Amino acid sequence: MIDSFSKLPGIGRKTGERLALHLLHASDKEAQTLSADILELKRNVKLCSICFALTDNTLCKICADPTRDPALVCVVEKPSDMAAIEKSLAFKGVYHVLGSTLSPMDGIGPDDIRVKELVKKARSGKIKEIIIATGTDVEGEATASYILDQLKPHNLCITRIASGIPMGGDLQYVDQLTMQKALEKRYGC
Amino acid sequence: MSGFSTEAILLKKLEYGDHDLILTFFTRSMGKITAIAKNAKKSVKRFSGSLDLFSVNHIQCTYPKKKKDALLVLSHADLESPFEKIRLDILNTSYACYWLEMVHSWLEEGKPQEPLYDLLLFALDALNSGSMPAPTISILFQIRFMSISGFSPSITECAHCHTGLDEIQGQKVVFDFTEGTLVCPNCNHHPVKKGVTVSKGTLKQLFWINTSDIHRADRIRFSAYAVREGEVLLESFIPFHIGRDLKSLQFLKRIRTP
Ligand SMILES: [Zn+2]
Ligand SMILES: [Zn+2]
Repeated sequence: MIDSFSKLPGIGRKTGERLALHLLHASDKEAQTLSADILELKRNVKLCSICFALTDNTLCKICADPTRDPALVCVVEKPSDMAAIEKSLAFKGVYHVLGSTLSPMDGIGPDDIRVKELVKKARSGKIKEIIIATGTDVEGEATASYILDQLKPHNLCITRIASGIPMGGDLQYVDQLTMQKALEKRYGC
Repeated sequence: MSGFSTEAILLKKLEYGDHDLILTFFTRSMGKITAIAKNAKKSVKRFSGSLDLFSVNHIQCTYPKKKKDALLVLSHADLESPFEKIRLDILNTSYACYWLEMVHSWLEEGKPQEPLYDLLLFALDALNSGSMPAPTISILFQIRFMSISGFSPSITECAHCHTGLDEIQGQKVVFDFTEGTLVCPNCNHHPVKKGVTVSKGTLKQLFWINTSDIHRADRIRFSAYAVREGEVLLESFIPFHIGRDLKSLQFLKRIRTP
């Protein structure tokens, strides 16, 4: 049991032990609910066949929505990033979930993320713009650079989300790279 | 609370729980250190954007309250250089990560290693400014890394008959990984178990880039052929000597092949 827990992301042996001990003292009902939930998750949650978001159907809610623009594709690392963009209500297109970002030090290479699938979509001729919305850390930027290289031959509009001063942000704590980008992308006038 | 502050390059970053990061830095004055940055994902005030791979930071650390085996605590970090031109290019990032992983695997915690620190900083700076082609910087970094870390290969004469490189007959010699030495065609009776064939011209250029003034290194022009040979030699020799495969080297090789 401890071994199984330790395999989960962010959980070491110590935490694994604590979780196992907790379950040992828990009621039968609590344990049953948890194991049923895990099975249910495996049985019912699938990947959307178009965008690879989590769904309980063949298509996710967004891909199945006729009011969303399928010619505008936003590329994100993981489903939670997609949720964050949805919360902003600022995006009316569809998504493409990569599943991870490239990470040289962890050995996560181009064949481990869904770039080939994205290139295939780009080749279909049905897409007008691809927005690369990976993070701004080294892995996110590396992934954006790789995707840009792969999509270049396809004559599409490819954009990168802008970075800038966060809401409620105090300028003196903004790093020089963000400040540089915020000034480059300034608006008005 | 006692502590210290120093200039440091971030070698490795691990998420710890939901809010904290465990960071391994290569510091100028104290070598490799590992510190925990509490609440790093939220605290813009203390760490504003500076906790990212290969960035140079001025860091402040405090010693843990319970001395033994607790981690150093990173209390403040100021970004000095993010090397933004490395970050925005996948191939440059791959090279930089390969160098970081080499350094990370070889360094022991807490042992200052200033020549290697300066070398890494020089290489990152050159890669960021584009003053030399990335493959050349990588060859320079690798061969000098080997000298500094003590497994410098001897590439000026045959290890068996001591014939100097110039006097060896033919264009190619064999480089023996296990010994880190050259074997001329005359002495190559018992085939070398782990080694590569390399031309004398490439070896001379490697020797030059290892021994000349580093600030004049941008004058060297490797032919495409010499770059290829130098890469094969160094990228096989280094994992062999470190004693394990480097993930970022596999990654670099994958990115390099179109
Ligand atoms: Zn979908
Ligand atoms: Zn010989």
